[in-house]
Amino acid sequence: MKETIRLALILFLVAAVSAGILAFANELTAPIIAEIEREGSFGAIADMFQDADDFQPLEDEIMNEILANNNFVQEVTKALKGDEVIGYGFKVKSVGYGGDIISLIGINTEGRIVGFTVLQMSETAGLGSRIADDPAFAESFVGKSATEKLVPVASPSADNEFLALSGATVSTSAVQAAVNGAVDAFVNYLSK
Amino acid sequence: MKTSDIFKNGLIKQNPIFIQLIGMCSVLAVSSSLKNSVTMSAAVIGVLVLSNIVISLIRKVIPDKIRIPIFIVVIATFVTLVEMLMKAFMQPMYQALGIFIPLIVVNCLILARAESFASKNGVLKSALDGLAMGLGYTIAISVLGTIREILGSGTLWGIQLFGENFQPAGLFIAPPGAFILLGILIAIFRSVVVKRISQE
Repeated sequence: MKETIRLALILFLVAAVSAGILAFANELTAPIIAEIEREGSFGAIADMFQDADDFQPLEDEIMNEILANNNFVQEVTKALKGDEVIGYGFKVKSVGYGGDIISLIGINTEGRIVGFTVLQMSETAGLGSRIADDPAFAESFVGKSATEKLVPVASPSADNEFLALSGATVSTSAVQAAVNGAVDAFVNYLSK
Repeated sequence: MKTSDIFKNGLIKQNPIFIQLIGMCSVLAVSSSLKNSVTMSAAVIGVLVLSNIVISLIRKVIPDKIRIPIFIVVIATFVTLVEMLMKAFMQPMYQALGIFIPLIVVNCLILARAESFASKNGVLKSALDGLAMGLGYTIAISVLGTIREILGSGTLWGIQLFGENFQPAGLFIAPPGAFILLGILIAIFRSVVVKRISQE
């Protein structure tokens, strides 16, 4: 009995020291990490809406309604030019081959997709990772209509088609789900 | 054990990948490009050296019965540290390696060195052993990463090596290619290097 308590105490001590060190390191790195993540999504939205001069989060009321009815959209940012809203940036989460994929989809008020960027993913390098690395993939969304569901095809031409990556079906489908999630949120809540 | 023996062991005689076949999960997964391989190696060397040092320092005070959980706490602490630092200062690389950084905790290479070396030897030797084993890991994963990247993507360190018309063999980027190539490399390494050592 005494022995058990002694062992537990030693283990507790080691874990406590470790937790202390990590808490200290977290204190130092957490603000930097938060800043990088914020810049990452904000910078990407700014790239999509070059005309915009301000960005603001969507009003809570509509946002909560979207969150309650949409499984993919996590955050919506308004792109403003003066007082006028010119488009929306959707931060969307879907599940790929290697875990969560977080991407950003920009849709302007005319109902056109203006950009697609992957913010975070851990897909297979060289295969699924092309959703982030292959410029042709991201470009295949630009200018497409955000009023109907998009489908992946080998050589996209129609208004609702984007580039299917061969050998990366799961990643492609995950992006498809994400983009259609954003389109859905746009059509149902923001296009009026 | 002499310093030269520690290095000979880590790099060749007991090479963690080619001879001991430990820590294979991350090797197969991460070695799809040279850059990933080298970054992963740096993370592994860092964790291995630091955890070997700490475990060697506390080896006399930790009770035998709970040594494994203590080793794991020490290793997990360093892995989490590395993860936080990479996330804060090497964001693109962190994204490329993703889940395999936290998984260093369960990389048996690190636990094996803690158990079989650091818990029985002095601090300096343990640090050197961590470095030697880490370098052995680095060599193996870098060779694999170089070949896979050249054949599978036609690039090296992200730089295009061949003209536009080069058709890369996607197999080598995929997991089966990693297995096949690793098998070939192990066969070559064992037949050439190990034979020479046993003749000495």
